[in-house]
Amino acid sequence: MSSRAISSRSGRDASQTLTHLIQTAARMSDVIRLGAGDPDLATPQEIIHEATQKLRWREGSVSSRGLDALRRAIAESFLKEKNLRYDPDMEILITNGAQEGLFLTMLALVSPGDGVLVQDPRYPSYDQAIEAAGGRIIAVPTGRDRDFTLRPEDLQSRLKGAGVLVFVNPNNPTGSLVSPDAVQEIAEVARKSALTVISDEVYEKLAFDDAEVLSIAQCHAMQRRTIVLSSFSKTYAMSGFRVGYLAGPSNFIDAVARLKSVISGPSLLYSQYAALAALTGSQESREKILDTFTRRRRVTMEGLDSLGIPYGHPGAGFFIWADISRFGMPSDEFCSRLLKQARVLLFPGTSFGSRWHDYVRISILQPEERLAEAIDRIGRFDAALQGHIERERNES
Amino acid sequence: MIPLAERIASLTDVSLPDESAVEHHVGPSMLDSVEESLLEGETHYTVRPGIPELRRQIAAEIERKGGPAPDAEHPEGNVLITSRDSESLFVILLGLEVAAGDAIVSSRDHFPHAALFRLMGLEIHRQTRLTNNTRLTYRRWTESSKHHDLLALAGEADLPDILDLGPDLWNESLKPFPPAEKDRTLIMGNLNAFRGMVTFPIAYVSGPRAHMARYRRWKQALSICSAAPSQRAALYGLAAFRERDC
Repeated sequence: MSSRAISSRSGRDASQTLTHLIQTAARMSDVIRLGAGDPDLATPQEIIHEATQKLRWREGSVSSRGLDALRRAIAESFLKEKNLRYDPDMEILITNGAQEGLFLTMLALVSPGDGVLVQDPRYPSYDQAIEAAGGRIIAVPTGRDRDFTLRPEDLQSRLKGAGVLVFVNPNNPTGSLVSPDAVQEIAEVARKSALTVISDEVYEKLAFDDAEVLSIAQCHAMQRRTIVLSSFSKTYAMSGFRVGYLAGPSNFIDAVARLKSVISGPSLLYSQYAALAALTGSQESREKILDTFTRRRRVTMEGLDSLGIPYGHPGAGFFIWADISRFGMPSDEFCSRLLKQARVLLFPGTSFGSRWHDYVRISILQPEERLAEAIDRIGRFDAALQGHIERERNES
Repeated sequence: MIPLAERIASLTDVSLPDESAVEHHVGPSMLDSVEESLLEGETHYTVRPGIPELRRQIAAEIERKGGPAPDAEHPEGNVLITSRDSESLFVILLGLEVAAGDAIVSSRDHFPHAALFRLMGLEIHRQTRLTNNTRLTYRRWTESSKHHDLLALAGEADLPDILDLGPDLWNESLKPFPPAEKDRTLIMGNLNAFRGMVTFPIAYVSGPRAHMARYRRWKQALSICSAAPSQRAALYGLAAFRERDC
């Protein structure tokens, strides 16, 4: 087979359990959905009004790489916030959300057989994108002892055959945030090993407690080997608009622009105007969104603490990676029973890597009172389960 | 310079057009309708395969024109919404697991999607005959005179058959509907014929319900779902078309 082509695919899908859970939940009433990663908050109205006005008057010029003004605004934001300089004409590309950016990036970087280092657990779309490109996943395990963050030494031991590192910071599904010092160490490994880094920074504006989020592109000599992947979906509650971007070296951006031109064409202009409004308008709504998630995170963490359910420290974003091993059943079964008996939808850890049967991903995308109610329901589910176990023990 | 995958070499002649030249004729009422839906909260991911009502209307129109009937209870299950024709074709090819060196039989020399076929490493055979590596047939409604030949060829080797309607599903002047087999033909097309829809592009794939999961999977992997404003604009465009037609 020509290595030029998109590779043959197995068609395997690890998401069948997840699909079944979601479909079951859709048929039920009064389910508290703490599964998906789609912000429940509405897009700020001023963003919608502004996008409509700009499209009405058709402001600005647009190339197949995206709206000029949006690319410039993104470049200015990189310079202002991270002191990173990008040429908006050559080094930034607008995509249909970060998901498309990720998929096209894999096609642009990975040839059949190439090794791609990915943190485990991981967002499952990475597997599909790597699969489409014919790449080989090299999973880098993480653990609770280090809050599920990527460690340089674990990376170092798995470099053989790897050309690309996917670095998701802040992380989905774990919510972990790698400290700036650790990012520097990971950058050093990547630099010495000549890795190209895909830096997924979708949750970077949603860091809690004023924590610093260092982009790996900011580390010494890393910008030229890093592709930054981001979107507006999470930060501004704009998931339905499907708009994101890539920033990276011009030869890479040029390649992805051609791929995008062939596969999906330019991104929706209306959504690009909305993204421009989000980025250049008042950031008050963004701060309100972060405040909301901060309160929800506290309610959820306190609830889990009260139930004695351990979890990795959520440093950013809207996910908590919780250890359900004490319930004595694999995460698929736990989520299925929790849904049926307590009407709470969580996503099983095995949706994010086959070995995570002791974990679940909890999203905090519900109002505080619903999160508190979910914790209460999990508590009752736990009590009923313990009662059942106790009765069985007595009977035997 | 970042090292690139070898497949990128197939794209050196792909041009990156200046999109400023694209003409946008979005009526104020379509734009108002899109804005209203967003202000009412349709700012989230839509159902992954697309808004059910939009999918139902596309399925119904295909049947009305003489194409395969959709599933009686869940007609939306036969249709997947995508962003553009090229995305439709891409998810079809991924779903069919075509491999480099496979061949497509078509009746045309030139294709709007030639670069995509090249990217996938596919050969295009113009002759309507089978070879060892033939994997599917591809035909466009208005640009092929060999619909029956190609469909027969697909049937002979039990191959999938792609029928590309382009923007013409709602074009009443085009008849008859090309031949299609319910369990074999994948129908793709777009809604660009409606005023404003070049600005809010939407395309679709329609096929046997039992097979659609494989295409949905790749659409979701590629971009989760199509943009909500475009899908809402499409529903507006369809309603306006029906109103005018009445």
